[in-house]
Amino acid sequence: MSARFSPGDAVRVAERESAGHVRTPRYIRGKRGTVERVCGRFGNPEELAYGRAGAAVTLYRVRFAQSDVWPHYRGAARDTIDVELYEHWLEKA
Amino acid sequence: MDHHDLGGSPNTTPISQAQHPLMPWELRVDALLLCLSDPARPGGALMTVDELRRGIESLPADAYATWGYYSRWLHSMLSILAEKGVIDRDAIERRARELADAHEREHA
Repeated sequence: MSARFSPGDAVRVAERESAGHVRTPRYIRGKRGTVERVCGRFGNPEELAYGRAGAAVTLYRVRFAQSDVWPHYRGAARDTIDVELYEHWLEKA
Repeated sequence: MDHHDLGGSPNTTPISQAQHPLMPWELRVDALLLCLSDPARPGGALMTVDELRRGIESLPADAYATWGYYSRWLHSMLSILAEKGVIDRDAIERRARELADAHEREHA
């Protein structure tokens, strides 16, 4: 299965509630960023955490402007943060 | 809200970035997890790192906030292994009490 997104694509992190184990921190949900790289395919941690086999899902490294993530960010405008996110948490922006 | 998802939470005291030495038992907990989660071990892995994380996130909020890194690991490993029927948590707790009592008697 091919990756849905490519490096340079604009994406938005799904803004949804979650129960159980997820690897998408709340501070990044709903934020817009750019795919920095496709990391590969890995077992879904949301299933692996409960002893299930964990179907392979594509993991991306997504780059966000710090000023987009933190409303009162006082650092340099060019500062960024990279967050690794699984495909089912990403939408086309 | 999940008490383990702390990114962006305000904190009243600065976070210490100083390195601290690891205790021998902490190194053992780390090594034990590597052995337990090794797919190449005979019989396959007994648990995954993802299960370890789920166990840590399931700790009560006060335990999560006050326990050290490897205390959280150890308690998660005990919970996950007990859940899977690999160990008997009561037997482990009993043995830990026996050892603690013996240690107290020796050093009383």
